[in-house]
Amino acid sequence: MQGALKVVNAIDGLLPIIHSSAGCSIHSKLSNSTLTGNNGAHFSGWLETPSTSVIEKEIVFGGSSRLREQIKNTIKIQSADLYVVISGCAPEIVGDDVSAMVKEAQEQDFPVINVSAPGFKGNVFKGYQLAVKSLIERILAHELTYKTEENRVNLLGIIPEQDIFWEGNLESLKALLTCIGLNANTLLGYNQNEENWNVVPLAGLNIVFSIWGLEAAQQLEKKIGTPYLYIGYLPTGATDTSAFLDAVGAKTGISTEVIEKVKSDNEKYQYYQFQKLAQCYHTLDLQKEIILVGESHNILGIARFLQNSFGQLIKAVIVTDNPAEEYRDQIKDLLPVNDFYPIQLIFTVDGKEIDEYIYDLKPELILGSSLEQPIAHELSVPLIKVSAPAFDKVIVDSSYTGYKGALALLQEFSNAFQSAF
Amino acid sequence: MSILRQKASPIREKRLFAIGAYYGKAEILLSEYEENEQFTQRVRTFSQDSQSDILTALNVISTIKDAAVIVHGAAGCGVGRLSLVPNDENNTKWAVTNLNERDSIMGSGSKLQEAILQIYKLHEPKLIFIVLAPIVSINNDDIESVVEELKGELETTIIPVYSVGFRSKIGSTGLDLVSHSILKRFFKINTEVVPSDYVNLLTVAEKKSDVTEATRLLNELGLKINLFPRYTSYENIKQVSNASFSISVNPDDSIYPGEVLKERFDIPYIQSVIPIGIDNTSQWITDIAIATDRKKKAHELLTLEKEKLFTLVRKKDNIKPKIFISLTPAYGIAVIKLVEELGYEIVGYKFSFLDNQHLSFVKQIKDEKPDIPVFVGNGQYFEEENVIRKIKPELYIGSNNSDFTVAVRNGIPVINIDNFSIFGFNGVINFANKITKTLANTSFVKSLASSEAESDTYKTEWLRKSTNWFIKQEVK
Repeated sequence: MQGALKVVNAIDGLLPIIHSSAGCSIHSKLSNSTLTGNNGAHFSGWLETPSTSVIEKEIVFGGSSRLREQIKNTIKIQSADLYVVISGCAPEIVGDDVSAMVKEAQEQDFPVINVSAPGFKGNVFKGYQLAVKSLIERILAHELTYKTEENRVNLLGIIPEQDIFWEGNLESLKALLTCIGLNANTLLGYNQNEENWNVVPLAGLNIVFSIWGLEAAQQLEKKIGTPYLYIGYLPTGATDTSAFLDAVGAKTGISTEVIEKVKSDNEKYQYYQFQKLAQCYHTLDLQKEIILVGESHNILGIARFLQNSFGQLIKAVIVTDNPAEEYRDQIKDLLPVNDFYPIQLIFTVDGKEIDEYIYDLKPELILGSSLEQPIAHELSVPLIKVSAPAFDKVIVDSSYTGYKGALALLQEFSNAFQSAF
Repeated sequence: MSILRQKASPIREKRLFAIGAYYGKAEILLSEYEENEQFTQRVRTFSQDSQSDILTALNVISTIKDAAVIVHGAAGCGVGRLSLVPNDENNTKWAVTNLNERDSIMGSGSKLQEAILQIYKLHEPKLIFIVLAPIVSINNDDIESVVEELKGELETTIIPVYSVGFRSKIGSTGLDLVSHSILKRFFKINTEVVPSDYVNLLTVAEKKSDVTEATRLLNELGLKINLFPRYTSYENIKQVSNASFSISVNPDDSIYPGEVLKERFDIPYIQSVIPIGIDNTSQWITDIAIATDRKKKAHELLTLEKEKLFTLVRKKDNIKPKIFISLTPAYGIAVIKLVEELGYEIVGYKFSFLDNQHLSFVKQIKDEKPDIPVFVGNGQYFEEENVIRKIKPELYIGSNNSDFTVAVRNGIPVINIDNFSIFGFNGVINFANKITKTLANTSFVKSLASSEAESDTYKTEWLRKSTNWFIKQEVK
């Protein structure tokens, strides 16, 4: 449910209506939103999520009429482009016919859809996929013929809040693609509304930044033939960002001249900053043995940049989003390689195991989530928060993605050792 | 000990006739009470999400030392526990059983057993709390047999907390659950009571700085304090049965553990007001002093403490904002009194629930402020927006559980009472200072509210309707 809520709450004009017992969205706001950079509210409000908040009577005798009444009244008092009924554990187990209630509303020409997302069906990534799938299905159901806009691309696979820098990352990628003449649909976050989703089928290309965006990309390829480019991580730094632009260029027919100019300008800038760092890199002893913890798509780019361009020695990359077996080889291939300092790739969702690995490997710095704070404290090493959850952090729109993001990362990285003591 | 025989405390609707939905005249509420000897239950035909008993229970449990916590439910249910980690100074070990579809059909007993065994093996906690998510209750999974089986095997006290999520409309019901569950499982039938010289301070949902201040004041009276259930520890719980008195902090929440301790261990319970405000703090100290025979000490203490109040400058010409308060009832009633002590006026208030302990307050409203409606709701900010648009308050007082965006987007400055210690006379000073500072620069909320970019969250039709449009009497 929380995965679905993250999607709906990130689109202007979309209002969730929860059909479940009380508390689901409160849990979500108090942790998912607060603990990932203190994401606040926008269209759908902070603690104002419509909910049937079913009680015992409605569980025993069914909650369908409560849902019908709730949908009707929500539409009465709040305008929205789309009302998304998200059902949770209680009504799903007792078998409330949510689809029937939603269909009723649709027949009265109200824009309502439902997403079945009880907690026992899956985790946050599954919820994200379910919500995105439902939204796309709804658009494709109109069965229009789409005139492809070659320079329009959709950005898929970045999950609000789960990626704590999601807003900044989406804006960063959009700005980058604008530089080479592409119109990037971020779909989530600032200024994104139903209109942006309606033009999803018009895109000439879908760019997929994580395995969780693949389902939507494949759905669009199958139904209307939109090609997709699977990147699988957020590119950080000149080398990977330039390679990213090349890959995008190849699939979209943007002139190499345009791309080369953007690449060279930015590569020059990174080189300029690296030169300035040449002295303090050595007086502050910035080569460290590090460990990264987080979702593959969020930490691979950082790992690659820090090792391939900044001389860092990576002891381990601990991947926590439990990707399916078929994707694990791909992730392994994306890992930066260093024959002199091999990287351990570990897949686990268990906090205790993560602590044990870190304890055994004794890194000098951890890039991870606040759940690594105790072990970082025990080992007396700095922790840079790059993954969810991130406690006591306010993130407005910073990003470690792209050319500029890499430099922000370097600043954060270098300062971690200065303020440690 | 009949009440502890149940696996859960009674819901507040049954025990105190608590209501979670009302907007209207105090007069009507009172006449209903007179007729039925209880408040009339109402429901909402449109509602917004609110805290369930799971979250309120977890909130208390997360402060308990020597404990491990297992959230028994799907993965997302554990996220509620996660929100409490940042303020957890005990670094409590916790786990979630990650129930999936198969477990829902086949039963969750084995996963629970495994979780308990693992967490015990790794950390050997003296207490293991099991907090249940709705999925377990709906499926009627057998928790007791798992607990029974492991009880003899492990040297720990396993405490299942029967938070159901949909039993009560009042989230605070979860607070009673914690005391109930601990007292039920921890003490054997033949527990020996060894009378002692300390007192139980029944903390439930208070913040640390407030508990510190309450403890300090009682220490000044010469009382030794044993905290329960909030901030308690294994040793504290052991001593709970031997206290000479139990003392309330928040009367709404302390009363359940207070009465259970009285019934179970014959410990006299001192119920008083919450020590917020000048009058209330004096009364709280006095009530306790009388019961524990320390009147002289109390007099000395009060004289000393009240000297702090001389720093309160009663500025005559400064701004007197019209205030709206949105809090839990004991806090709300006390803060209303406090702002009036400081010379301000309230134009409205909302309590998250109301029960028969608040009758005298409702009567007071009817007599002294009959035009201010009684407003009851947990969350339900759509109703707050409706009220705020109509009465246009100039200051909004809430807590960390509030949604401040409602006030802020309407350009109303906000005070969060969780940002400073509000108990005792120190709290009065802190509160007065906070009001002064907040009103000295309101540029943040003003710049937000004046922005043309935002459109209204709610339709005008709603804002024009009567606030209780979606509140109906419950059909039995």
